[in-house]
Amino acid sequence: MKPHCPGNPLERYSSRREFLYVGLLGGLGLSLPGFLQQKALGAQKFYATKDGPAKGIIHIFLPGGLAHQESFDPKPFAPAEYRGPFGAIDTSLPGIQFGEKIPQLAKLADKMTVIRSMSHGEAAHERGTHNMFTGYRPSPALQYPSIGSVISHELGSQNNLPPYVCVPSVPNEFANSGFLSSAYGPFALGSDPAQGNFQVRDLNLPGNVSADRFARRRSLLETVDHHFRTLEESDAIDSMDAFYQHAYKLISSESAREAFNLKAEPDALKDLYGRHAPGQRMLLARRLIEAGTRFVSITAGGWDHHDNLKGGIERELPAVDQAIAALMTDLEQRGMLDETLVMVTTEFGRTPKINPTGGRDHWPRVFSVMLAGGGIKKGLVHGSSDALGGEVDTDGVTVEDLATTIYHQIGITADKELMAPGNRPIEIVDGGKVLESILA
Amino acid sequence: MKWLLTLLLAGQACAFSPDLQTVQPRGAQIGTEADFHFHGERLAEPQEILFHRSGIEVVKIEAIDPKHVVARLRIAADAPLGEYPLRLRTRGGISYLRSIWIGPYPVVQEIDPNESFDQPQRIPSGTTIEGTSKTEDVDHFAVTLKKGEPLAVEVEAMRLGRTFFDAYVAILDPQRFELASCDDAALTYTDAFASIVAPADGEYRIVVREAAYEGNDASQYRLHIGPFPRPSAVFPTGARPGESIDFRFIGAAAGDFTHRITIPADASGRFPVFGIRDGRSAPSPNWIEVSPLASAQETEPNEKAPTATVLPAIPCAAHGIIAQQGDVDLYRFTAQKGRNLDIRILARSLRSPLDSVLVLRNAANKKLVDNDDQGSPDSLLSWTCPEDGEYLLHVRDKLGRSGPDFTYRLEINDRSPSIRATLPVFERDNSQARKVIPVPAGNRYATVVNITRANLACDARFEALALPPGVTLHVPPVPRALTSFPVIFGCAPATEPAGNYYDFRIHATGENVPAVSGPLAEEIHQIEINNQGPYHSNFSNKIAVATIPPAPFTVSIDPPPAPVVPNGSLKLKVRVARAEGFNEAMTLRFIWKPPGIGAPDTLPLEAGQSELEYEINANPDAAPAEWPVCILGETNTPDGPVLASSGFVTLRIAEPWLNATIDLAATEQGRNVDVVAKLENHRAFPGMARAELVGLPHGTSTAPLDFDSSATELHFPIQVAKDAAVGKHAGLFLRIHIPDSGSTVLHQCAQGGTLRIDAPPPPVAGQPAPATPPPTAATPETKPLSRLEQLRQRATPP
Repeated sequence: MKPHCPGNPLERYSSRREFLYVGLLGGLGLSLPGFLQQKALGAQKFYATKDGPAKGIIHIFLPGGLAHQESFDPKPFAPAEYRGPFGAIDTSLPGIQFGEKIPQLAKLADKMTVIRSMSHGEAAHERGTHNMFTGYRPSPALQYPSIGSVISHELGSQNNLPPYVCVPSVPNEFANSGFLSSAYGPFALGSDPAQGNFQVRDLNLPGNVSADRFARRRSLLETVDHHFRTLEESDAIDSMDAFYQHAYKLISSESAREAFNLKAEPDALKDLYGRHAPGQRMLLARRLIEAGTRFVSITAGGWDHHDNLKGGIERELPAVDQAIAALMTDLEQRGMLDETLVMVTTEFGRTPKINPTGGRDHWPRVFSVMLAGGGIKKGLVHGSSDALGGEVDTDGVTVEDLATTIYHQIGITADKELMAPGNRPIEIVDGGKVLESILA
Repeated sequence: MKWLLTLLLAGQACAFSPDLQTVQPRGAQIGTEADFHFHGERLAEPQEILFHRSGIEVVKIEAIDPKHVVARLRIAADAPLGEYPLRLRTRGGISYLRSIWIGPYPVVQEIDPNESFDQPQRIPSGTTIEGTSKTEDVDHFAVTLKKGEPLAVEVEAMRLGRTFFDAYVAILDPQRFELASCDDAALTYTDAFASIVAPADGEYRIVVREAAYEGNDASQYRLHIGPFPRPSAVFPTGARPGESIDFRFIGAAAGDFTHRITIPADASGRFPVFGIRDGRSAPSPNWIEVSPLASAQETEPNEKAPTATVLPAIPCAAHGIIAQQGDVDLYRFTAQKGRNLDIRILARSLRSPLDSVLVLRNAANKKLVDNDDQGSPDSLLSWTCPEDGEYLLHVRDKLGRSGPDFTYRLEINDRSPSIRATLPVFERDNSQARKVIPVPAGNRYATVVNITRANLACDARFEALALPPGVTLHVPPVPRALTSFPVIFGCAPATEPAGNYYDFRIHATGENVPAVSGPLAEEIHQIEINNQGPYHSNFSNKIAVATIPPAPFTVSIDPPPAPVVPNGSLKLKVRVARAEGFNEAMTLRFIWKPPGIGAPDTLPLEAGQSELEYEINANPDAAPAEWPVCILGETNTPDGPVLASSGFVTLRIAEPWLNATIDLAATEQGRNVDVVAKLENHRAFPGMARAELVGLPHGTSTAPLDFDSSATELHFPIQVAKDAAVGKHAGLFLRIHIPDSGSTVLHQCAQGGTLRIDAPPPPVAGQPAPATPPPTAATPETKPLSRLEQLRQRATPP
């Protein structure tokens, strides 16, 4: 008996008799690959999407790896070389302290859940990023779709808006659609909202093109496309078609275009978010979620502080603190926080001990992420790291658990299988569990 | 002190830490005089140029402005060709190491445009081009040759040490056909060389570019074009000091040739030999190993055991070439039981293409040990002979490659002890940082010295064989447990700026320790890429030391009155005396941590601040000892970065006075409880100690307790609020301050102490709510109950 390899459809039809049946079907007009595809589709684990507490997700990703010690998990009693250059401050959550450089978030600690026991064990940037964007460890055999792309695939677009937007640009290759059609890839602004002349690329008709002329061009393009379609079938053509459809909807829908119009925001609110890259990006994210985008991915700052951690944190963290706090406050004031999941993640944590160049190096054994709104418990610290911030102490959380919980909150069952190339059904997340204890 | 500093600084405006960035041109012709332009920052008041080796005389040196110094250099007619590493010394210090190169031919600058075959720069054979390979730049040079005339080219690119520049060269015939080309070569790393014999009269092209067309304005090269011989290998690959040998130079286009060379009597180690034919020398050397070992040369055929080349009595050497496809060279030697031998191949370390594999077999042809690489492509077997007898060594290339230049040297040596020292790498991918010693007048400079001991466990003694006038070296004892130690250079007040390269020695000391010593070596990687390693390096056995004008501050540490104990902590009081007007922010660096001691590597001293407490922590396993420690102050003055250190103070690690554990305590919200710490006293202390219970959860509080050395238990009454955090709180520990020598010694113990707080149980239906029990703290005379006793009491019916 050959060892069974789960997921390989070819191994499911091993007897000669079954193979003959398959051949027979071929004679009746169903090719073998088509038959296998149908069988595989039938074997897929399927769960219908449903309404979750979260209608939209804002994923704030801090590339490079934010030090947990300087943010959500300070170690004020550790020796100086572990403690780092900053102190800890009390938060609005009794008995819980954050790093002194996130005072605005500290005031909102009673509205969020902080997970202090994240861990994935991948100490390289690209691998850590892959984990946090897809919920999977990287594989040389398969490109996994990002969480945003899966949501785009499962929930689709509403109000003519792209379901998955990256602000300001696609932050890394793992934010793409992986093995899903590239139609589910992110819509990238291509321009930073913090810049005064911010305008989303390709959102408006060129100045000298009228609506009529645009319609004629579109008709011409459809003629050409039809010609190609009769010659060849390919995912790329379908994707391009989907892109065009999205683009037409965007360009032709004024309300959709308006979602990208930061100028419509009052100055006072812009000031609240902060007139810097993180602030304006988060303000735009709120507009997009408000208008109907499902998943907005934002990057802010660079946190790979191998050298001079103190300078780096002082330079970068206050703006991010202000912007996230403003985002949470704004969402709450608009009554949107309960149905918008704000998630702050990073690649990994940083080494417990300050290194000789005054920095901290990569440390994936334990780090912190923050979740707020979207049906997440308010005022909770889940899990803990040890006294030096080096290992998970209690209630460890894996990336699979985190991703499963996020999907759960937006109404997607992460055990559902999506079809990968080669007709391989692949779970949205392999083996995670919903973190019930952090749900409201 | 401040007035003294003020006096010293008056009229002494000086640029510290000269920053030499480039030297132009990158080289010159032997036997000529040339002006070299030194560009950088803070180059005012140039004093001299420090060379690694002789052959160049400084005729004149003057500053055009603080960013530009011109030096006229006279290159001796008999100066060896090749690289001359140098440093510029100004009154303010000594620069990073840079290099200039001496070649055989007059230097001609590249003239653009020369990007195409049809638009070359025409030059005579016997020219050195100095050019730049910019982005997507392909430089063409044309040389007219007669049939049978030899032409060789060699490019110095990465070796110039300015930027990552992987050069490629090719020689094309007049019909554009490529006759020879080279990207990398084992002899010259990423630099390239090629040679031809002209097959017909005509104008030949030499093409130079960056291998991936990724040059830039810093991608400078020196391209030697001429009839010189450019052998890729030399044989034999070793010689004895004082020996005269006819070396065979292999791989030149015009054929192999021999050249007789006498090895200097004081030579040792890796030694350069230049292939010279008809009075013409290759621009850069081939390499051999010089040692007093007796040697044999392989005699082919020697692929089988019966025909193995027989080696002289060990220790010995042999020279061979893996010349044929699949060639294996066998050697036979005799060894005695118990003899500890290092058997190694020198091939890539002598820039041979061979990637050796070394296999040791016994007389019965049974494999005993083998080795492919040991830190480099070369092989090393560290082997103890199991019994008297004959043994066989097999040498081959890892990939079965071969060639006439796949030369190697085999050495069999008794394993010998050695010791050497280096200065540590201070910055990532910058081996140049802190590799010179600048000592401000009337002040001190501190650095760490790393020790490398091989086959040796010993104490060590470090000394300077000479130092600039006014400089003294302070070295603590170096016990065998240390792999690094701090040293302080002191400089007398009013010492005039001076400096040079100086010899230091580190000696193995202690009982039954062999008398070996080694240098303090300089290891500079001019091109070094993260995770790839160095591409061009320079080594020497001397370190540059200079006295510089006074720094605008001094650093001192108050000797700590009390010791630090394992798991404890201590604050060093650091004082900075600032010269009047000097208020810059500074960085204080704890440059060396004794075994078992942790501390932040640096702490910032704000602008104008003159005192700081530097926290020192002892690990749980820190052993009792006394260690010298010091603090290095670093600042960036308007006149450049300057560093000065404190003197040594003694840090004492003592046995702890006591240890403690915390019993598990459990309670409910709103119900006070005692946390009991059990003390284990190791020795008595005078007066009263104070204990703080740290790490209590939200909603609980207690006060510190004072106790004397007779106490065995501490009872902390904990006030537990009604909203105290529910859960198992395992972060409790004790900070105990024990009085000693007018100070206190901080003990941190009882880590992992646990306080469990539960929510009150729901009231049982039909029963009145129990009266709130009186707080435990209110009845101190009652013996507090352990957790077990509490549970028993609860379980027993009243």
